[in-house]
Amino acid sequence: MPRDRFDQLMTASLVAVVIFVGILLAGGEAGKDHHQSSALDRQLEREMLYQARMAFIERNYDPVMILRDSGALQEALLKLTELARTLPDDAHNDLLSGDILLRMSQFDRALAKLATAVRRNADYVDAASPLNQRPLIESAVAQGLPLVRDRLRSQPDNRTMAQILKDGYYLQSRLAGGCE
Amino acid sequence: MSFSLQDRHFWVVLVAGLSLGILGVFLAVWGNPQNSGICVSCFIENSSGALGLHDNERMQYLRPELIGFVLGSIVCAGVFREFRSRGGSAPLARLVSGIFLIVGSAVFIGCPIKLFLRLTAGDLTAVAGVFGLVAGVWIGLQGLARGIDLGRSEEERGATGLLIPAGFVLLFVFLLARPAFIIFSERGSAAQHAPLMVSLVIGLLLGALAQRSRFCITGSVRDSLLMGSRSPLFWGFLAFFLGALGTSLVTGRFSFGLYGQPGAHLEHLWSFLGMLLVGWLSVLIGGCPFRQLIKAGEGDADAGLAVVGMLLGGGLVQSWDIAATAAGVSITGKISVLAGLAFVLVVSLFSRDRTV
Amino acid sequence: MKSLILTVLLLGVLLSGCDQTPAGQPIRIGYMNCNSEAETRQRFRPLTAYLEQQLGRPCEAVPVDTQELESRFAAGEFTFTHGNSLLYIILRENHGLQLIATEKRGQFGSRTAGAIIVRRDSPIQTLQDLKGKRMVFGPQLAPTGYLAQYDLMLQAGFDPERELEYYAIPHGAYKHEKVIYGVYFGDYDAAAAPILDLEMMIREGRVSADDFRVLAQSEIIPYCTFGAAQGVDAELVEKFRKALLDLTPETTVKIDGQTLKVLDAAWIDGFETLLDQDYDPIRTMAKRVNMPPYQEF
Repeated sequence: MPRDRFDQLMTASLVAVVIFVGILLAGGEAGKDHHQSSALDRQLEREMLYQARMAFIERNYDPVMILRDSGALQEALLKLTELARTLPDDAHNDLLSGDILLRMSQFDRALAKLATAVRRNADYVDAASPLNQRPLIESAVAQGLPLVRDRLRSQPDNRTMAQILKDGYYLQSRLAGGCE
Repeated sequence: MSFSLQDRHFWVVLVAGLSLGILGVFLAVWGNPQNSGICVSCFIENSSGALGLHDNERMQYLRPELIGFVLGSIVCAGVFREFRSRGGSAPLARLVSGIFLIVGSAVFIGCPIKLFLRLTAGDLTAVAGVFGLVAGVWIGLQGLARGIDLGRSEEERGATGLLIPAGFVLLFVFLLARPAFIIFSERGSAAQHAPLMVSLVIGLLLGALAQRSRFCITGSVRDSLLMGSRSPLFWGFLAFFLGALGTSLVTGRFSFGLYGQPGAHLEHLWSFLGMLLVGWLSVLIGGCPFRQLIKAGEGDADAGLAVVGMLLGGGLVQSWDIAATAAGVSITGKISVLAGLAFVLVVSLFSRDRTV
Repeated sequence: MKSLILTVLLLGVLLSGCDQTPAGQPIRIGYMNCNSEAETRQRFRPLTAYLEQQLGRPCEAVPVDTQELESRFAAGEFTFTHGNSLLYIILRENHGLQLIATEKRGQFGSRTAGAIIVRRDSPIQTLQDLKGKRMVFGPQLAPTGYLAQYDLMLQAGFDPERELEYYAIPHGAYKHEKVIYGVYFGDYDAAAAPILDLEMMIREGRVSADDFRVLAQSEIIPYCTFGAAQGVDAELVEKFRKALLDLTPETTVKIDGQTLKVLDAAWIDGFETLLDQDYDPIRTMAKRVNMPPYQEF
């Protein structure tokens, strides 16, 4: 409780400051502030970037998907090799490679590629994302993991297979969810 | 200290533990990430992201549970006249400890509550973390017994103990008003959450229960090591464990195994070391991350600084690639855990009362 | 005391100038020439230097023409060999070569395939359309440059000897690339192209993926392989294998004052241990096509 003039002065100042904040918030100052609008824009910009990435993927990888869907799997892989020149280390390249390798029954290579894709872009295992590829990845894990385990049982010293097994477990873990 | 079944405090502790376990699983059923119904470190990372302290688009959400814990503690402390503004015990060390609590948790991928939620969901990768946590608590106790002490907190004049509660009231306002500068992920684990009011109400309830009961995971481990079953916290922990286990089984969330567990990696050494760091620090500063939030709500400014450190840590572990993922622990994560252990060793050396 | 110090110093100076190369009888490694002798030397010199360090014995890289590898191996010239997977089978079946490790390179890792390709604008759509057409193959002992494609055609009921107008095998070095360019420039209607060479040329931008169509592709089979002669000390073989498997993209070796990345220089992504039975598809192809080591006259 205010005891002397100084206390009263400080209390009155506090009240004035609070009222001033209230006026700023309620008085529409937010709309006139370019800092506020840039903060609003940030969310919009993020969404636009995401949409732009989706369009970019469609534009660049469409030829690959046409080849893949027509059954020209090797040509699709070669096209991905070519795209890697201009778009190096792109997660979608790894994802499509994994998809095509899976169709060619190269389960070990498919698991490795899909794991790389998911490490680069977790949207592939996000059910809420337009880039969701959970069915593909689930299929790769379901088909590939038992084969990799069998191979390791007959060849325990195969380090490549041991790494691919880790990749498979990683995909399994990402499919199960968690905080990432 | 012993207790009797007539002791009301014993029942409060039991109810707090049981509620934490059951609701911890149900929050995941209702929308929080799998095995992360309650994870203070994950929630801190999400909230740091929402506040703009890191730019991981998949980890930005102002978790209502966190706000509920602190507000629940404030209200309960207020009602039972236990709110006391206090502080002044090695403030900077506690701030840095808060950072390293999150580092250790992020490398394990979970706070001590999530550690046991993972274990009760059948995740065997949590076993290494359990050993680490127990080892860390044990080492901390050895230090306390040999005179390591950060100093007592004192009653503080002024409103310093109100600052963190006021901060969380502000976060509550932000949560409801959703100003543009608070970021909410639309993808990723931060986009997975229980309904806002459900999370908030559960947070308030657990915050109040935890304040009243003084329940804390590392405190339970500590008391169990010191007093065994004579400690109410031992029974509270058991209620938490069994509540979580039972709920996991009943809701079909139990999946036993080492592989394919959500939000888990296979680098057991670093799970052990991460939780060892958390356990040790928790003993040193008087509570796990959850307990720090509760104490901050009671007016403990030292715990408040730990909470600030935790928020900073939440930003750092994402920005500096310290946080582990299912792919494993990064080199920066490993170095950070070791830096944390070096920190706690230095603090222990310099804050030891050698007359003990 | 003074003279002792002087002696030690002198010895130090003398020894510091000494060659650090391990001593002993050099281990000769026969490297099959893939494209040319010069390229083979360049690719495998750093790898050989690395092996020398790991084995603690001098190693000599010997480039060998594909056609000569068997006879020179049989003559006991090499302790270890590096050659294609068909050569591995020939040396194993005829001379007891031990499998050490298989090279990883390209999309399929330690495996690869052979394809029959045409230009994108070619009217040829199926293998049967090759009737009366001109085709170019790679060298006969190339599993994915000749064997796999020949086998593909036989399996499709197409006899290259009778149904093609003619087929050719380029002379000289870089045969696989000549095969691909042969189709690209229209000298031939179709080519037996190793998928890996096609991949490399596309990766380097020398041709485009859009330039070709794949008419057919073989089964995916093991790629180039390191082997050890029968009777080589088991410990040495194991050390050699471990040295190969321990290679990472960051492993370097110093040659002529230059630090070189071993795998990068060799154009290899790594090594994998396969089982001998993984090579059975090549055995099956060789039997069907009547190729060594199963040829019957």
